Amino acid sequence: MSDVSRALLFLVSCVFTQNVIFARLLVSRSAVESRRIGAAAGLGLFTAVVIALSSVLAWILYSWILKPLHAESLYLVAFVLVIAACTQLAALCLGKIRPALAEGLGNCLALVAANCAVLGIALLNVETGCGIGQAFLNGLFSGLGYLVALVCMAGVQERLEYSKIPAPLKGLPISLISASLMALAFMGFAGMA
Amino acid sequence: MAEKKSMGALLISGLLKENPLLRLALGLCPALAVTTTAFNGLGMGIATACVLLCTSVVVSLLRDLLPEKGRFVAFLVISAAFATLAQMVLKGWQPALCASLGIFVPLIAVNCLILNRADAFAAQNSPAAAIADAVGMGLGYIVAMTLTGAVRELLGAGTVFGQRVLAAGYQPVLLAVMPAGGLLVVGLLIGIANAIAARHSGKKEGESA
Amino acid sequence: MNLHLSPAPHVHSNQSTRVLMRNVLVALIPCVVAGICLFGYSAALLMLASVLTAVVAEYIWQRATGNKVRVGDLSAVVTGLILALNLPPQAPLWLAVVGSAFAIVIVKGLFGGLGDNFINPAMAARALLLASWPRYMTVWTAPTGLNSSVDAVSAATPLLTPGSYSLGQLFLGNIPGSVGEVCKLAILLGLAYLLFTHTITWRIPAVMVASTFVFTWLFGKNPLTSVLSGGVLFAAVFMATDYVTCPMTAPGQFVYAAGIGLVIALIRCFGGYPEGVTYAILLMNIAAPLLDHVFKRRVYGYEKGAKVQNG
Repeated sequence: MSDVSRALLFLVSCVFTQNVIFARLLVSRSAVESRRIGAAAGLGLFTAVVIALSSVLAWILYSWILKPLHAESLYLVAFVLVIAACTQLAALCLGKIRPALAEGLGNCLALVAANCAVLGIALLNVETGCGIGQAFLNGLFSGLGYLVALVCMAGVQERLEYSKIPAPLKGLPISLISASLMALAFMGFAGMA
Repeated sequence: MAEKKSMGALLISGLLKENPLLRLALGLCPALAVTTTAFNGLGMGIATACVLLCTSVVVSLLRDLLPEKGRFVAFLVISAAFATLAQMVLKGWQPALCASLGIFVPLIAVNCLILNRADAFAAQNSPAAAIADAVGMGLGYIVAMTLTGAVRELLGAGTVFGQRVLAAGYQPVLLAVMPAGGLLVVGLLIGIANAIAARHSGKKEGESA
Repeated sequence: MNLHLSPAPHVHSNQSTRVLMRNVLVALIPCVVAGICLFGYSAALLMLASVLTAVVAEYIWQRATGNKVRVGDLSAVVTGLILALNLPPQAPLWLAVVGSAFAIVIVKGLFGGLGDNFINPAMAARALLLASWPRYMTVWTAPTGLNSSVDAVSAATPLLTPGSYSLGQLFLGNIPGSVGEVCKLAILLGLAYLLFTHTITWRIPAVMVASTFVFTWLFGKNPLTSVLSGGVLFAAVFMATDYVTCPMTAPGQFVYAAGIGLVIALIRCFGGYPEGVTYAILLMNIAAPLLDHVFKRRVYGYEKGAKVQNG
């Protein structure tokens, strides 16, 4: 199999069968809050960038610095700091490029530092012991999967706006239940990669 | 805090009225991911509760020293340190459980239950109150995680804590132990908790009126 | 500008839903008859169990949640029947009961009932059954005919052994498969009725079949066999056209139907499942609100790139 088709299969796996939200369940509160499609795309893209960036940086930190120093046990604290720095950096860039969007997302941006999808992908890279190339692709494609999941959920939320959902299920419960049905659908690509 | 709750009230409210998972929806990620059996739910709940307790105490002790600006990062570093410790303890004590929980043990570092309690409670209260809050919340989380795990294990395997509950002819709903099942069960449990809370508060209003 | 748009269908009276659903039921009659003729009374029992469960579940749910009981709108009957037609004929009855209850209560009821579900209930139920009990959902038997004294013989579906069945067999339904999907002639009769009564338009079925044809051909399969085997035709006529879960605008429907065909081809040619119709419909149901979002802007004459603040 050529490298290109391997990468394509890896893409399908990260976006669908191993989707960071629907399959890996790295679901933070902010992922299931209902929001407009536009805002979801903005936050999803921002988180995707942080995932991609911190995935590579955390891998470099672990393999090139912590491991030679035999300081692996510090990896969690180190990862958390790297992710906080990546989030700050990305937020600064977003503020420069799209000030209106950055302002609209407000507090959500800072919370990305504590998003379990970001740390989860960095940890997965360490756990599988993969090389830097795969760490890079994993960050990139998983981030894309995060974006896809957020946009799909926002679309469904917009559609449910006028529906007669029973009162106790309004808000978070129905978000989780719709995510469950989406997870069921995303299983369809199983076996492809 | 405007009204100081008694220690006992803090303990109880974490268990029921402000159950972190079922009422406040804190700590969702592990509740969805690792609760495929009651035992996993219990183990994850205890690990999280321990890190919560330690982080709350340390944050409360340092509450006057923490800078306003970098507070959030400080919380993250403290909980990451304790999560690392928890991972080491768990690996030595329950290696099988630690392996089945996988990356979700180190992920305790960014569990929003811990960060929320550090930010909303421990950073403003004395260590004693922080301990009461953390114990109440921790117990509530353990109960909710075990319940979620028990429901999923019952549906997905017909057992609870490995003990067969449903008849041997039961055809398990495999979906319950898949990711989609986790999302569905947690969503429904939170919905049921909401319904119970609504009925409860409705009754209270009716009595006082 | 704030435009409040409620999602389709804009069906307000019980009566009009009832007429639409009755038309769908009439259109399903050929498939029901063909299913019973090909697979015997077990298929009839399966349909009965599924429909009864759907109706009872709908009634209990609407009573329990204090809603008006609208079982008379026939939508539960359609959901139950479509689910049964998507099951293997030898599936145990409890499978139909569980699936039907899931479709009505979880996929439809929790979201507010008819018109509020974002995903096709029968398809979601089938995905649940396939994930939970693959052992029962992948046992295919060759048609035995009405004479059920002959024991059903398990056989591979044409999806797994392409070329072992002639086009004529594929067309008339003398092949292993789900109860309702095998007889293409019956499905086409149903399609004709639905088109004649203006219950559906040609757009979604035609585009979906064409897209399946083109993509399976591009991916190196026999396109004609691909379209005639499995549930492509049945889904194109009865499931992809579901008013509630397809996009509202014409361009949206084009992309939606083409997308279903693409996903079917992808899953069949590269995926782990032999059949991809269920998942293709579910995935495009999820994409439907996004397609509406994309195509609504242009339709309502917003400038490209202008900030849209709807709602």
